[in-house]
Formats: sequence, C-alpha cells, structure tokens
Amino acid sequence: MTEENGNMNSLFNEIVAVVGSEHATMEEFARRSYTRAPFYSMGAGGRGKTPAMVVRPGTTEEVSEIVKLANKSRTPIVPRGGGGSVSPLPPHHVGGDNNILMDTQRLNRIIDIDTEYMTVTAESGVILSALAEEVRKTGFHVHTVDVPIHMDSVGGVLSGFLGGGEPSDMATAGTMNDYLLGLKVVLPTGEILQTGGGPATNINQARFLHREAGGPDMMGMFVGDGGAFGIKTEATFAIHPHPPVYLPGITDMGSRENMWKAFNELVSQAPYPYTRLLAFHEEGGPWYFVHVIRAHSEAEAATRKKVIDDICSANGGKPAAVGDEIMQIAGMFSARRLGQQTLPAGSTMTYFGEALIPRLPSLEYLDDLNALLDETVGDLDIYKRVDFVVPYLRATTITGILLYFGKGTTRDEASGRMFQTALHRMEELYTEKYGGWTETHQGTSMSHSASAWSPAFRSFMRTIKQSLDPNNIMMPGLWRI
Amino acid sequence: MEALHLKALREKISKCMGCGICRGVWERKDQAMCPVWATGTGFEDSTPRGRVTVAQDILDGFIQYSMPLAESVFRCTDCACCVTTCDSMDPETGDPIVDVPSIVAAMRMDLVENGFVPPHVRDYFKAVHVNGNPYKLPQEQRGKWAKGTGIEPFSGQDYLFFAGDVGSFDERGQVMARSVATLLVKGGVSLGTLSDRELSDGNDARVLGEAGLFQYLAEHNIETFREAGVKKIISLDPHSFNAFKKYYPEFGGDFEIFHYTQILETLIRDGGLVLSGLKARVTYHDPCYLGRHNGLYDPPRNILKKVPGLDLVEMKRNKKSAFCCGGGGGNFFTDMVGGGINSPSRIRVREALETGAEILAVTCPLCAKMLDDAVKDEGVEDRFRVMDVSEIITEAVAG
Repeated sequence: MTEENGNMNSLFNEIVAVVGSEHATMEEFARRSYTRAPFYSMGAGGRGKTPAMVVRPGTTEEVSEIVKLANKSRTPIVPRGGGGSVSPLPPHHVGGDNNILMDTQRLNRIIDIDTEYMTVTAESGVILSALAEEVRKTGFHVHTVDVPIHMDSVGGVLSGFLGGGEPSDMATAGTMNDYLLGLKVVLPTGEILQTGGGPATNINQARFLHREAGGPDMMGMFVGDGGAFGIKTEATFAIHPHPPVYLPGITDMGSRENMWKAFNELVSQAPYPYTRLLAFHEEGGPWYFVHVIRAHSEAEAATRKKVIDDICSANGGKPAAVGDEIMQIAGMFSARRLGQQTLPAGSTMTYFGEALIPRLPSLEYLDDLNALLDETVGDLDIYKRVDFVVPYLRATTITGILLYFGKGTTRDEASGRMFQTALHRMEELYTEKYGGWTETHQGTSMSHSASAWSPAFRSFMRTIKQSLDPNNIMMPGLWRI
Repeated sequence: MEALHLKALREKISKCMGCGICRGVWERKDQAMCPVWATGTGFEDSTPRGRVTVAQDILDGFIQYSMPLAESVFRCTDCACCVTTCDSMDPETGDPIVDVPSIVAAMRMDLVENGFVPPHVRDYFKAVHVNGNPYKLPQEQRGKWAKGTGIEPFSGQDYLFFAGDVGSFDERGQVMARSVATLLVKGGVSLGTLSDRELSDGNDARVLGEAGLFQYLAEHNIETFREAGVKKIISLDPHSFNAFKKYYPEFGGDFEIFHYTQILETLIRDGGLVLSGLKARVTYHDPCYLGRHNGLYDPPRNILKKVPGLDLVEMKRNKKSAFCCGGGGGNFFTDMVGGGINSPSRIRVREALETGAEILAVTCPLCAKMLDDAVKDEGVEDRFRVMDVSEIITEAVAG
C-alpha cells in the first residue's frame, strides 16, 4: 500500500465514522458512476475525474465534520447536486483524482413552507420539481429552473450558471437567485454559516425577509460559485401565490425578419404579455413563436394574449396549424427530459452553442453559430437542426441550435467531435466576439469564463478564495486562479 | 472476464442520455420512483442511470465484474419504474429505447456465469435447484395449501390453478391461495391443481440471472402441463403469470394464461358470485409483474368497484406509477434492498395510509407478505390491514 493510499484509507475510515458505512464508498464502480455528464458521451471523452471516495452526508453537521477532516489531510472536496448538469464536463473534472465527491442528495428535506411570510426553506439536495410541487400544494409558486427541473437540486442550480438556472418564466420573473433569501453554507474550513437574515445571521431577526436588511448581502458570493466557496446545505426562497391559469399558443411568423421584429416588440412591452416566449425554426421551415401565459384570472390571460396576437399579426404572423412536427420540436424545450422523448430510435441530440448573449440588432450571432456548426461538425449525420431564440433577463437572449443526429452518428462520436473541434471555438464566439456567457459553464467548468476576468476582479477572487479556503480544498482549480 | 449478455445490449446502453429522470424524485409522491433509490442507502450506481453507466464501464473495460458490484446489481427489484419514468420509446416498436431492466438482467446473467453471486442469491438458487422451491421444503408439501378448498387434482378441467412457491409454502401466501381457490370453486369455475407435480415457476431465478435454472424449471413445468393436458392456466402469483406469459413460450409453453383477478372479474360481472357488500375504504396496490410488466391495471379495480359499500381510493402513485413493494426481482427471497424505515414496503404502506384507507388491497402473495410485515413495522396493524382482493370479496359475499 502506498502512503497516499494509506492516508486515503485512513481518511475514509474517519469519514465512515461520521456518516456510517452505508453512506461512504471507495468501490471503483460506485465512484465511476459519478463521473458521467448527462447528454454527452459515456466514453472517456465525456467523463470527469474519478473521485477517490464518495460520501453522502445526511445533515449539515455531517457535512461540516467531513470538511474538517478533509482540511486535516488537505484532500479536495467536490460537492455534487442532482447530477443533472448539462455541462459537457462533469462537475468533478476539477480537484484531481484524489478528491472526495460529496453527493448531497441525502440532504433532501423541505424544512418549512411559511405561507404567512411567503418563504420556503429546503435542504440543498431537494430536487426542484419536488420543491415546486410541495410549494404548489399550499397554493404558492416558487421560482425554480425549468430545464431540467426533475433532476437538478437546490444546491446544484444555485452553484451553477446564472446563479440558479432558468425558470420557465425567467424572462419575466428572474432567476432563482432573485428569490433567494437565505443560505446555510458549510465553509471550506468546516464552519457553518447562515446568510441573509434569520436568527443565525441577525440575532434579532427571527425570519428571512430581506437578505440585505441585517447587513451586507453576502449571499451572492455563494451563488454561481460552483461550490468553491463552500457547500450549500439549506436555502430559503420567497414564494408567491400560484397563478392558476395556463394559456399556451403557437404562431407561425414566416420569415426570420418577421419573427425578429415581433420578438423585439414583444420584449419591449411593459408589463410583459407572455410568461414564457420561445422562437424556433427548423431548417427550410418558417419561424414559430411558442408562448405561455400564466395568469391569475382568465380575463388577465385573455388581455395578455391579445397583446401577443396583435404584435405577431402586425408583423405577418398567423395562428399556426399545430401539427405533430411542431409539437415535437416544441417538446425539445419542455421541462422534463430535454427533448429525449422526441428522439426517434437510433438518434441522439445535443445543444450546439446555446449561449446567453446581449440582444443584437440582428441575428448575426445565429449566422455565425451556423457557420461554425457547418465547419466543425457539419459532416456528421445531422438530420435535423433547430435554431432558437429565447428572451432572457433585460436585453439579453439565449440563442442556439439544437442538433438531432441520425443513426449514422453515435453519441460518442457526436460529443467527441464537439469536444475536439467545436467547444473552444464556440466559447470564443460567446465571450470574445459577443460578450456573452455560455451555458456550458454550469458553475463548474468556468475556467474559460474566468480567463476573461479583469486583473482587478481576478485578484479580488483570489483574495476571497484564499481567505475562505486556506488549504484550497474546495473545488481547487475551478477558476485556475 | 466475459460480459457476453451485456455486449448484446451495447446499442441500448449507448442510447441513455443520462438525464437521471429514471430515478424518480423522493418528494414527488405522484410519480414513479426507483424503490432502491428511495431507500436513500445507495450510491449513484444503485440508480437506473447509474446502472447504465456501470454497464458502459464494464463494456469499455474500465471496471470488472466483482462481488461488491454484484451486491449492487442484485439490489434492483425489476419493478420497471425506470421504464415508466423514462418513457423514451421506439416509435416503431413501442419498446423502451434504453430498457434498464433488461440491462440489469444481462449484468446478472454475466455475474452468475462469472461466479459472482452474493450469498443470499446463491442460497436461493441452491434451494430452488435442490428442492424445486426456495423454501427447502419437500415437494409433497406443495399441495397442502389446498386442503379444505374443494379444489380437485387436475384431470382435464378447464383451468389449471397454479399457486406458485409463495402460495404453496408461505403461511401468508397459503391463506391467499386458499381464499382464491375457494372463491373460484364456489363460483363454479372448472379448475384443478397439479400439487407436487409442479415446480417453481422460475420467474425470480430468471430475473436473478440463472438462465439455466429457469430453463430447467420452465421445461419441466411445460412438460408436466402438457402431460396433464393443460390448456389454460390461472396463476395466483403475478410472478408466475409473468413467467408463463412472457418467457415460457420461448420453450414451447404455449398456454392461455390468466391472472386470477381476470377470472374473478368475469365471474362477478356475470353473476357467478353475488356480493352483499363491505363497508370499507380500500386502496389498491398494483404489483409490478401484473401492472407495469403486463399492463393489467383494471381487473382488480373493476372487482373492487363492484362491491357495494366499498370506497376505492387511489394512492398518488398508482397504475404505471405504482411504487414497488420491494419484493420483485428476487428481493422477496434475497432481501438485498434493505432500507430500514425507508424500505420500499414501509414507504408504500405510508403512502396507503395517506389515502385514509383502512384496507390495502393486493393481488400478489409476495406483495401481501411484504406489506403485511411493513404494516407491523409501522405499528399500524390495529387500524390498517393488508387483504388480498379475493379475501375482500369473500367478506363481501358473506356480507
């Protein structure tokens, strides 16, 4: 036995003493089962680092004890949420081979739903669809990510890109971060910190009401941190009365010019007439708008629908004859499975270059992306490509292309080519030419984004990281600072 | 090390997108969920998605079959919840594209052939191989359950009544077998039993990966049925039903197969049994091998709906989304799943209690036993009982 293995075994035994033998493992097959990133190759190209051990703590205190033990041995820790990252790189590509992968899914309790003060507090391993469902039972709505709601955890999305993923109503209501009131975090030294208010932050404040009221808002530093500043174990969110009316619609906008003119008018309305808006186009076909209105009354929904219909109509739009083909494409954007249900047998699908970018005068970004696609993976068996544009917060859009590969292209081949030829070029396009952000970050593969940091911001981040994590055990190497 | 059975599924394995929806979500009590994942005691490799990842790693040579891996793979209950939640189907055939249960079955066959069989599984195989049943009891005792039911030895009646291992040897299963047989006889159904001439149906041996043992059992039973002139079979146990209907035809077992609820439904509908009534709130638990595996959701419900005074209420997870009791995939005998307070059967009983029902209706002797034990573990036996549908009907006939 090498000294390193001996130390790791010793650490493992100490961790087992904290969580119990059934919640920690060093078995290789179990460790490797955590190395996979959804939607990408299961082969070597789509795998992250294999952790030295996996541990599943069940309480904040257990998390704290494990972090303290890791500090003693300078062993890196990689926290993991629901395992649903759509990053091409799994969460633990950082941290080297000897890391502790901390699976947070046993932290799965919804602690409190307070309808009087309109808050919900949940542990970080709670899956978002569960959170949404439990809150909805009380007649309230919590803003959670829309894609992929059934696999992402509270802690995972808060650590990731956009500081909390993409609620279906993100364009009109903001991200989860906007509704976050408090966080419980185990710092890299093992100390337990409560942010945002409540008695653990402010001894005179019994509840989470305003996260900046009792002092500086220190919560934001943990949002989108990829887990590098600490492990989130609880979060409190604001909730709101659930809008019971659901009114979807599809409009055929014809040309891209028509769509883009109507798009710009729609996103300039105040208040927004839609709750969710999506424009998409399959090669050779017309552009469609899919909109969803969520309202508190039928009358409100009808009023908002009229605004949408009028703007679309004035720009050449007409109600679409909704066929299976359109619904199949629209289904690609549904919350459940990121389009898996729409895949014909033998094919695979991926997003190509989905990015959050400033809204442009024209859709030149999409043209650039298509050209890049043709250049880098265009020779693969692609039987369908779908361009899409979604309004995001303020003057930004999420713009990209969905690719359906035919039977002639395996997922290994598709993702291999994406890795080898396309990703770096796409990131250049996002961040350098258009000043946007790529969804491939997901909080945990942020090295490219960090490479664009200004010297002052880099220094600031380094100082915070060193202060919080003197032994550099939490997601080391995430930002390469 | 050979992975012959798994290799045949390479294409299916590569189709998994890894989204993880197959696991289900703990707090979503209205959706299907992997019962092993629900125990909260497994790692990612215990989830359907993780099992596919492990399968890929075996095929790619990153990991080898081993005993610890076997301990993980044999924890699957073959409930097929993952197929429900994934519902990624081939539009041409309607078959699941990934089909985790078939991947698990292939891994188990490879494990067995490579000699990695956990002790509890090995004991099960040995008992069935030596005794023809997992209870290690002599064959002569197989027919004892029938005493007092009025059922005759099979001699060319319309139906063979097949009680299966649990119905023949387990105390709870015997009660259920007697109840069903008594009702069918009372209703005038022409049926007989082969008693000690039948062997284990082999369903769980097959699911546990002992293909050779399953073939032996299937061929023996098929020959016995043929010699006796059997044309139609009523099975007590959905596990037997599943084996007879889906896997015996591979060995020439071309019989007409019914679950007893199908016969009972017809009997009640046609007036063969007159129901006085039963005032009770009842919820029904779908057995995996009757429901998800074979699509029989309605006969038990139709029977219960015919009972005057009976208030049938559904659990949030029902039919395709029903939560497994934990007894499938051989786990009834091997007890590999565990879970303590969060064992699948205890979770299911708590779900049943949430409906306000006082009776949990079942149609599988394995479910009956698993859930009976869970009711005791939950400490609610004074206000909640598990009853087979035939037992409910017996009370309803008596009025």
